[in-house]
Amino acid sequence: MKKYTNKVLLGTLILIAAIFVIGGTVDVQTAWHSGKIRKFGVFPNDNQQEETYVPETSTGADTTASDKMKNKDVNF
Amino acid sequence: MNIQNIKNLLKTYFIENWKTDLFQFGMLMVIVLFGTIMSSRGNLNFPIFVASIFLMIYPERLFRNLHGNSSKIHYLSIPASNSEKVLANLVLANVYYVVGLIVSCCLGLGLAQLYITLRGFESLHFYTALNGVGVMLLCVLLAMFFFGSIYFRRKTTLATLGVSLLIGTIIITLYALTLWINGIILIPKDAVYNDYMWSYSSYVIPDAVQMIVLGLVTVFFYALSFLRMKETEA
Repeated sequence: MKKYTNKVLLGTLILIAAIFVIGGTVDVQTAWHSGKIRKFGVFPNDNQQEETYVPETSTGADTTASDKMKNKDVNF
Repeated sequence: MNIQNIKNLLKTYFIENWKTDLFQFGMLMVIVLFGTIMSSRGNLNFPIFVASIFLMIYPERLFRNLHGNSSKIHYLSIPASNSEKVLANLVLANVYYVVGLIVSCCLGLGLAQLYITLRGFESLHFYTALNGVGVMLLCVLLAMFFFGSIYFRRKTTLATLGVSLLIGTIIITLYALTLWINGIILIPKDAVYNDYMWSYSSYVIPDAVQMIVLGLVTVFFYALSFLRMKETEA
């Protein structure tokens, strides 16, 4: 009698591996084409964030203890 | 397929193994009893987990006659076809042993409940995370170990576990490599990746589909077991 079990097992493993490889490719391609992975700056919000970024500066009001220390005239 | 032959095989099994089975069921009951008393919670996940381990180890004992040279010849010369032998063992693993494990767990939980009530504590509220998909997953695992116990010659449970883990690791690595290679081709260095991680939440497979697929995998392993058993005789 010919032995088929090993062949069936091997075939199944190759099939499963192929499903995962194809599935993985489809996953990334879908994510890329649907915009879930995208190049930075493609959408206006990305650049807008850069342009409108305002570094933290003192408003003039002494709100915190460190602000008060900074604004204080220190005479030696 | 002769029903009488299957009955005789089952009868032989019970004559040879009733003491071991009783010991194992008793052991499970004690583990569940003490586990439940010590946690003082009605969490059924612990008894189910322990019972699952018992269930995975069981097929090795069912086919142990196949793994010795003299016992193999004796087992194969029993007046029943290989299909009947596999079917008898299939009934033992899927019906008899499962029912035995459930009864043992129930007894353990019942005794724990009794003890807790007698001590004057609040009654247990039983709960579990096991759903239909979980049950089908257990069926697949049982079928896999059932096949492994025919396929391998020594230490069948460990061999099945080791080979499954190895194959699982290879497939996951292959999947990760696929994602990585696709990523290198498609994605520029300053790409925004963050949203991609969340994209997996959109891949929800309905429970019914998962159960059907797992059912097919179970049938596949049992069919392979029949095939392997036929080849063993040849």
